[in-house]
Amino acid sequence: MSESPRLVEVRQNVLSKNDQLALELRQRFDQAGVRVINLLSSPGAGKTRLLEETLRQLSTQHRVAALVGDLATDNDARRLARSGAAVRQIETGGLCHLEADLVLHHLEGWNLADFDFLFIENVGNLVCPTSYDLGEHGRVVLMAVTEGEDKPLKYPGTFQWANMVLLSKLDMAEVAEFDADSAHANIAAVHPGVPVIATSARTGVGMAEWLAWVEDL
Amino acid sequence: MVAFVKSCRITFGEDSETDAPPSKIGIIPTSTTCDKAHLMHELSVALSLVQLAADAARQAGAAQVLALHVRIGALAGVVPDALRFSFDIAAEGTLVTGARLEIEEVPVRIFCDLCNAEADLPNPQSFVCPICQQPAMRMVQGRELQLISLEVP
Repeated sequence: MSESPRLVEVRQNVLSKNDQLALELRQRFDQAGVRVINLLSSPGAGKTRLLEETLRQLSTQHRVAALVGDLATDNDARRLARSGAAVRQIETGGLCHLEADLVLHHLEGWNLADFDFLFIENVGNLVCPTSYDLGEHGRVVLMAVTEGEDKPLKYPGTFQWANMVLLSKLDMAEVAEFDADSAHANIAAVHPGVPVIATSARTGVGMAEWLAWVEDL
Repeated sequence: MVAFVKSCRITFGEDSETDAPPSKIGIIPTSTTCDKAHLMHELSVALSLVQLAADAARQAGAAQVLALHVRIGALAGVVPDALRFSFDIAAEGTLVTGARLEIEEVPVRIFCDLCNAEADLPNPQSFVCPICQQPAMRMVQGRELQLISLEVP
C-alpha cells in the first residue's frame, strides 16, 4: 500500500453530461432543419410578452414552437398558446435553470421537422442558465429598460454569453428615466460587438429588426 | 431526501416524505423553499461534480477520494464559497465524502487580434485588451467549470 496519495487526471467539464446531451440535441435540430433560440432574462423583464408577439408575427410565415421554463405554474404556456404556435411548459420544480435533458424530455412526441423555429424561454434568472447548453443556435438576453442600465456590469458572464441583446419595454423608457447611452456603453463594455435591439412588444418598435435577426439565424 | 442549507429547505426525488439516505447522487433537487436561486445552482453543480468524481475514482479502481482539484473561471457563474458549502452536502454518503475541494479560480483571458497575443483581464466587467486598450472580441478562457484531477489513496 502506497503512502502518498495517487493523482488521477480527469480534465472534464463538471457539466459534461449536459454538454454531451446538448451536442446531440443540436445535431437533431440541425437534421430537422429547426433553428433554436434560448431566451434569457431576469424575472419580469418581459420574456413572455415579447415571445407572445414574436410567435404571433413569425407564425404568419413560419412554423414556430416554444418551450417555456418556469419554476412553477403553466400560466406562461397558456398565454403563449393563444398565438397558435405549438407550446409546451417545462415546470422545473424549483430548479433555477433548464438543462438539456429537460429539453429533450419535453420534445417527446413532437416531430421537429414540423418546425422552422423553436424558442426556449429559460427560467427567469441571469446566472445559472448560462452554464447549461441546450443545443441552441441563438442566445438572447432580454434586459428591460426598467431594470437599470448597469445590469450588464452586474452580470457580465450572461451578457458575454449572449449573441443578441434585446432591450425590452422601450415604451416605458421615459417613465423609468432610462439612459440608453449608458446601457449601450455597459453592454459594449462586457461584450464588445454584440448586437443590441431596442424593442417594445406593446408598440411594436424594434420587432421587425428582431424578427429579421431570427430569420437570418 | 431533504437537505437544509442555511434557511433553505431543498427536497430531492419524488417523495419528500421518504427519509432515504442521500445515495441517489445525480438526482436534481425537485423542490425548494429557498429564495436564493443561486445556492440552488451551486448545489446542482456540486451534485454533478460529485458524480463525475465518483465515476472517475471507480474507473481508477479507488474506493475513496481524498481531494478534488477544480478549476472555475471568473465568468463560470459559480461562486466558489457556495460550491464548497454545497459540496459537503452533495458528497455525503458517496465515496467522495470528506474529500478536500481545492478550487483554482482562473481569470478571463482574451485573445487580442491587434496585439496578436493573449492577455488576462483584470476586470471581467471591461472587455478591453490590457495591452492596447482596444475592445476585446475573443474570450479564450473564463467559463471553465472543470474537474482537473483527483487524489486517491
